[in-house]
Amino acid sequence: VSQVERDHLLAWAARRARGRESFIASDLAAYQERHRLDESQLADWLGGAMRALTNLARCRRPQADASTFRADVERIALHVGVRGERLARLLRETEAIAALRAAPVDASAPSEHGFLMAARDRQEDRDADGDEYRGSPPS
Amino acid sequence: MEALPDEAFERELHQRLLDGDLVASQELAAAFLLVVVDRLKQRFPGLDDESLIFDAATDAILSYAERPSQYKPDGLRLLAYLVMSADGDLKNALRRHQRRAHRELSMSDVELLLDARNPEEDKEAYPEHAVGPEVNGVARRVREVIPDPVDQQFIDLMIQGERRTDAFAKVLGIADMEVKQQRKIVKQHKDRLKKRLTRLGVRLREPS
Repeated sequence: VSQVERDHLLAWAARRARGRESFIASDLAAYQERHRLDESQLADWLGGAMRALTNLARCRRPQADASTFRADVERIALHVGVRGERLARLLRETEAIAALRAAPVDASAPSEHGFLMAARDRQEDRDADGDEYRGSPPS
Repeated sequence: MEALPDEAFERELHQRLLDGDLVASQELAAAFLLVVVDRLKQRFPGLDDESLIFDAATDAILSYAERPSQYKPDGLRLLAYLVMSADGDLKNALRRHQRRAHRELSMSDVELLLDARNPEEDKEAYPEHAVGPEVNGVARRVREVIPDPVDQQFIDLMIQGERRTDAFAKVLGIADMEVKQQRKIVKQHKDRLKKRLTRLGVRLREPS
């Protein structure tokens, strides 16, 4: 089996994992769609190669509210070769959007845009404190 | 032939999955996917649509990664378990395809002839809101039978008569590979999708 065929099959698995919420593939797909990024642009933003992106997609998703979140993200990022703080931001954002979409509809509640703006404000406050991992979406 | 993972590695990987190791699923796919695909190809030598084998092998591995406790290592080697699981998925998929093909017999004489050499002519022949019911039905059926958004984008390019490899490569996310590799993978995808479209009674006219 050539490396090309191997890469092709593993990329196939990464795409197939998009439909499973327990895999990071689903977060990558949601982030790509929201920010209108192709895979190459997303790989660039995460600071990794395309192969790193397909490897990342096949990793299980860390729980954003777990005390181990930062360590989990760092381990995954180191394992596949992407920037940990960017991965943390991506996962925080997709989790926030998923939570918002799953919440009951309330006309008085802030919109998704407003929710993310508020999350971004909090992120900027945290960035000022030098802690990107605790954060939320990029601009 | 892909090298077989040894038993000690299988047990270690299984334990890591049980322990919630988040990167173990990535290593699982890297170690087992090609082997499972090889085994399925041996079991189903006449199957011309490789995508069914890829999907079945992938689903078996992803499902096991999500629920590793379903596998009991004392009874069966992990590779055998994954092949058995993929084999079952593939047989189910083939049965679904047969049922679908039977239902679609009435559509088998429908041909969607889009002349890729002249897209403007196509627009006149099939204006967006004035296509015939057969064409609308076929388009809807294509979306149902081929739900993968990447495949759909790929088919859209084929329908548009796109010929540039890089355009297809971008859709597949392989734009950073060498051009020769891109050509090979793009051709494989085209052949696979053409076969699936043919089963739906859809024939795309080749760009000349």
